Amino acid sequence: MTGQTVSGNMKRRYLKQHLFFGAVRLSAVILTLALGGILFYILVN
Amino acid sequence: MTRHQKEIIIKNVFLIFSLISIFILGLIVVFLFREGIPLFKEVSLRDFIFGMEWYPTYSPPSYGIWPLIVGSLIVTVFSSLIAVPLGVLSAVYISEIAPPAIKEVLKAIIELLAGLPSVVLGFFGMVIVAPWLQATFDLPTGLNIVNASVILAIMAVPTISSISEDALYAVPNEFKEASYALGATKFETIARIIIPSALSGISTAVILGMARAIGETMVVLMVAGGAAALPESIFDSVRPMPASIAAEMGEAPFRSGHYHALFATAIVLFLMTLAFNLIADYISQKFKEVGSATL
Repeated sequence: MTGQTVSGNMKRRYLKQHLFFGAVRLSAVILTLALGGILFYILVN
Repeated sequence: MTRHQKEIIIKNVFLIFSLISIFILGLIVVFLFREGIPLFKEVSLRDFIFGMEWYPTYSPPSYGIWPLIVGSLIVTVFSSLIAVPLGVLSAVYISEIAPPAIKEVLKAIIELLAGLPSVVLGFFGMVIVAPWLQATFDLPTGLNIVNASVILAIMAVPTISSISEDALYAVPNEFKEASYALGATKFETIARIIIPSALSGISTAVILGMARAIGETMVVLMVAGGAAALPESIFDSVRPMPASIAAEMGEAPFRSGHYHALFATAIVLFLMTLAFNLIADYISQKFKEVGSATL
């Protein structure tokens, strides 16, 4: 395996990892915003 | 009184209470069937299930519930498309990635979401989501499949997230340690070891979340629009079965065809939720051999 292929594989692994962790964190943010939005609306009105 | 006698009394008390619960549930099911089955003297089962027209107060009445079944299924499927990724990924975040402080906050948020009464969420859908959908997509009404699906998804997320989190938490540490020892990254450990090991619990969570969505009444009554017709787009109104039962039961004359039709609809709904629960149970048993992480 050449150095370039190894580097390509690592890049793909890191990209996958970043995408996954991004999606996981985004879901937590969406949940927080959903509840925050509902509570904010109820309290303000 | 000896310890042995105390044990026997406690055992019998528990047995009596559990039998009472089962007996009461059994009576409800018997009542449901007793009030629903007389409809089939008037209408065939095929016409009832696959009939396209639900006009129970017309003369002659039509008792076809196919549009109601489709309405129930479509909002359940769309809400699951939103709730399953959100619920499962948030469970992964809480159990595997979040720092302890954030973990506690998120768990509290999910418990709060679970505690929100459905009428509050339905109200939110009516006064916030519906006008926004109507204005943004230039629709005749904002009370439609999309609105109902979004609100039902908010209701289903806590069920999916908390059960999935329990399943992920139950994966033995040895599995993770072995994965890290072999050089896997955190992502690879989560995606290839932890999630597959907790698959039984996650699948159960998904099915129970869907069962929650299909049986939910108040939200669909308030935000699904109430049109008993087959939808042609996701922005059409629908009338899921629970909404129909809740809206019409008060005005149906006692033991009339309409009354029996609503009970027969409730039987269909009961059988669908029962099927969901049986599937959840089957999946939970089937994947039990995958590690020791099972619910």
